[in-house]
Amino acid sequence: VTRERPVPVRLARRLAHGVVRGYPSALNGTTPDTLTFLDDALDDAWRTSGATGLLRSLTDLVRDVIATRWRGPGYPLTSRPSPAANRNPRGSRFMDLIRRDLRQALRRLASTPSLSIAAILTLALTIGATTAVFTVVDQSMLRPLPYPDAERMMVLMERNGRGQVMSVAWPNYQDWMAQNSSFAELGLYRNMAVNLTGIDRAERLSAALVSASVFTTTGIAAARGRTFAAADDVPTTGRIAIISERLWRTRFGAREDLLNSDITLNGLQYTVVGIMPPGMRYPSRQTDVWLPLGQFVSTFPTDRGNHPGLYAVGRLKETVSLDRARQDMDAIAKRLSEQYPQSNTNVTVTITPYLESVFSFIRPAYQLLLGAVALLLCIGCANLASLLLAQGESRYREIAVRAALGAGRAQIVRQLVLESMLLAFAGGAIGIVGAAWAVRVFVASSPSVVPRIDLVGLDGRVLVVAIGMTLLSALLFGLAPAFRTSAVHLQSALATGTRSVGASLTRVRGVLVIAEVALAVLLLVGAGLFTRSFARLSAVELGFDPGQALTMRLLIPDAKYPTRDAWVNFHRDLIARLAATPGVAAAGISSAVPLAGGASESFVMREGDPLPSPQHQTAMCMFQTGSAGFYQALGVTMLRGRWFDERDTATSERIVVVDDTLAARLFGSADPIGQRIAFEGSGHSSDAFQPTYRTVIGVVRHVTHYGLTGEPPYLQVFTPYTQMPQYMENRRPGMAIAVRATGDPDALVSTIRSVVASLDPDIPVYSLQTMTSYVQQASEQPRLSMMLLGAFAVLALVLAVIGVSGVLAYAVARRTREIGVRMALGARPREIASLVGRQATLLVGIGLIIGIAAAFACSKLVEDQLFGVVPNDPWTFAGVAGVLIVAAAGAAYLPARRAATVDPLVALRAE
Amino acid sequence: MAERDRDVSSFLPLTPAVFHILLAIADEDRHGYGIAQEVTTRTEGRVRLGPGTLYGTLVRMEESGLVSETDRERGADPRRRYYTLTPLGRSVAKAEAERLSQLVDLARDKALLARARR
Repeated sequence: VTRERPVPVRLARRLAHGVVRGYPSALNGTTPDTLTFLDDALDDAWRTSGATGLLRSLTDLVRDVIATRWRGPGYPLTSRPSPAANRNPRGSRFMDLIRRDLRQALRRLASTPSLSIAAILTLALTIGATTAVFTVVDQSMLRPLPYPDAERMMVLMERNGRGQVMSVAWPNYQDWMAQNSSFAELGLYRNMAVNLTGIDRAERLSAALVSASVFTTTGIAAARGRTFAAADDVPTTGRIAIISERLWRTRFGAREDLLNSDITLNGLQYTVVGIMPPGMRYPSRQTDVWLPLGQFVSTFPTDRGNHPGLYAVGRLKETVSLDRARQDMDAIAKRLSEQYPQSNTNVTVTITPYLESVFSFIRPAYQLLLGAVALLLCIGCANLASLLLAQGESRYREIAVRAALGAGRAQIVRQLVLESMLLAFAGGAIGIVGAAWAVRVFVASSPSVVPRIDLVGLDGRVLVVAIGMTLLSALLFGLAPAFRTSAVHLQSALATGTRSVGASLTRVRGVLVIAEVALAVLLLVGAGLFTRSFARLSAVELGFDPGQALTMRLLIPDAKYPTRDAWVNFHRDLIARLAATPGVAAAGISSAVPLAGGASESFVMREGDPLPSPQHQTAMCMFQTGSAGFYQALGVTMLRGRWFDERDTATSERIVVVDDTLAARLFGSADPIGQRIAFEGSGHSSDAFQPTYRTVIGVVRHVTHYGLTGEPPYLQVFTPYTQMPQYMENRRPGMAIAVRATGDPDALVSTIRSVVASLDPDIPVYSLQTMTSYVQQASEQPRLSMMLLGAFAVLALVLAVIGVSGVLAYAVARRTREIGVRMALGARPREIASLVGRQATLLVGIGLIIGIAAAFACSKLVEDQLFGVVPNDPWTFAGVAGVLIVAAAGAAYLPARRAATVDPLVALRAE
Repeated sequence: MAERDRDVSSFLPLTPAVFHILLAIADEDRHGYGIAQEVTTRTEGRVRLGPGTLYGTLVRMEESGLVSETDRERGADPRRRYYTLTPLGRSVAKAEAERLSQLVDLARDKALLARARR
């Protein structure tokens, strides 16, 4: 009969089943019996003595595993001396010696189980956390990218007079190509999305339009077939494509004959000429299709003021430094601004090393993490040192006796080192297993903010580092007390006994514990600040209500919907059908989804204001186009006026809805409704430029778009899709659908898919996501920082509590006799307990003060990563002090109780 | 069977764990965990047999013909194997008990042990 077991039992079971693997292979045949045995034993242990019972069963099990490894499985039947038992081959004498030492060491460690377990746990936590973090950092940051000479790869963009970074204007790029002397290769690319059809199901893929030199810049050759050649950079190139190995495997079953055959992209036939190896992750790790630039060159705007999402990537010549390349490009930009003042005044070129561009985003978080790991490592070391010192101390007399009986110093040192090595290996092994598990969990949670996360896995080098650390800690902490205690002055040790020697060691332990507490305070303050910051972030005014809103994207192939009317009609039908779907409270379409990344920006001006020019800088706005239902589905608040509706057609008056920030910026306190604004126009030279005015019909609350933090102060305009901005007319955007569900939004997914399919089965629906999850993603990085730092802080607190508690318990044990005398003389238990309390207050108090002071000095370092919280937030500091005081009280409780319950008779009789 | 022919005395003296196991199943067939529990109870916790040690020893005892698995009721859990004493096992346990008894008598004669404490 299986019944639900309590969590501790299940946990203990899992642990026990793991430990069973440690039995010698001769016992393999009995494993099922052993498991049954353990299940019964754990159930009984839990029933009779709860968690302690479980713990005892587990220690018994470990002891049994060690025992069977030691003397072989099971006992011999008879203790009758047999010739075999007397055999003692000469060669195994040395092994016997080691064996004896090991056995002795194990017995020693088992005789002080709490100390040994504390030391092993300390090691496991420290080594585990360090290894896990090192693995992630090493593999995603330190390990060079697969591109040969990646440090010479540079990303080039343009920057306008306002300091805004822009993509590259096509004619400017051509001039860079012709005039630069710094780059061995210079390529151009644009990210795009394509629909793959013609096989079992339609799929939207990340693609990139690339010039041939993008491949030569990355230095990666095709795994099969070829990459693009210079002939593919001109319009005469054929319709060819290169695909990723991943796409080749997942969608085409790794068919060898795919090369030189056709696939359907955006409804057109493309010949596959090459397959790229998995290492090719440029421009992004999602890129599955590369198309030649030449096919699209004719569509690139030839005007230098137009920055159509093109990016340049180059490889520096061996002999050219980054500084020289910057001077070179600055000179070119200067020439261009003189030549084309209208478009290029104050426009400069920015060169960012590719590695920098990939990692700059997460570097601060990583540095924070490494700092936290370093602190934890220090705390762990302090704790371990303190524990080993306590152990060494308690063995003072024993060692003195052994030395008196003729044990050589080398022998004693060997014995002590062996013991700490055993501890280190046990702790290290648990730590490494824990780290492997932690990394697996981390990868499974797949935070998109960590680059190359999919490549992370525990590897050999990391293991070497971890084992190195383990050995180092064993030698460090093993040897120091070993020499200290083995240098015992025999006579004094034997004369005075254990109790009164080692006062200086106690002081050292006190200092170590104070350091531990101080470091823990530092981590706690960090965790507290990030938690507060995250809370602030969660309370950010979004401008919309994510609950029950579901969004997804469509890609409408131009080939199938070539005209504007076909495009508008498709979307009109779609909106009508979505709105009529049961379970849908509101539905609509838009070119931009809040927090999903990406947007179109432009200048914005009131009617009658001077036109934008290099001399007159106007405000910038983010523009989008859609239907009212989209914004209603998202719960965007209409403050004044109305949304667009059926009255607003291609031929009616051009209208626009604006956000409150735009209203305030352009119109102050005046009513913007009925006023006219423009964010685009026709004609590119300043004399011919004609702004296209639209009448404001509504004002909505500002919608958070780019992210929860650091939202740039941009203004927003919303246009009806029937009156699309001209910029979008040229390149009609893939639209997003939003529906607000009356019930569970996830339940609507398949319904929406079938609604789209009923209109056109060849249109892929992708990026299905609730707005709630977009909001979560936007706070992913801060949440990651908070959780990791929080975990470290908890570990640090646990270690500090172990440390404090250990020192106090040891002090009580040392003073048992003194306490007995005091009690015999009439001291009350309360007074005795307060003795312990006073020591705890001293240790924790000093640690707290030092820690708070250090935190005060250090918290500025993370100021950039905080949101809405000052680094010296008094609430955080007060909270940390409170947590620490509670923890310290907990740490002092047991030793204090033990001190208070000392029986004076027993205490005085002892010794 | 070769085991049958083996002289009972060739097993003596038994190692304590083996003797305990034989005693545990002398009155009643038990499964592994049952044996371990019985031994722990009877020795007031002084002898505790872990699963590896127990099954390792049981395998040897089975090979030497001291115990055998019963096909008797497998109880609630079909995974459990019950062990019973073979005639040889019973003789060996008896012989060991006699040997020890003689030793105890000797100790009493030498006044190392109080006489009747039953």
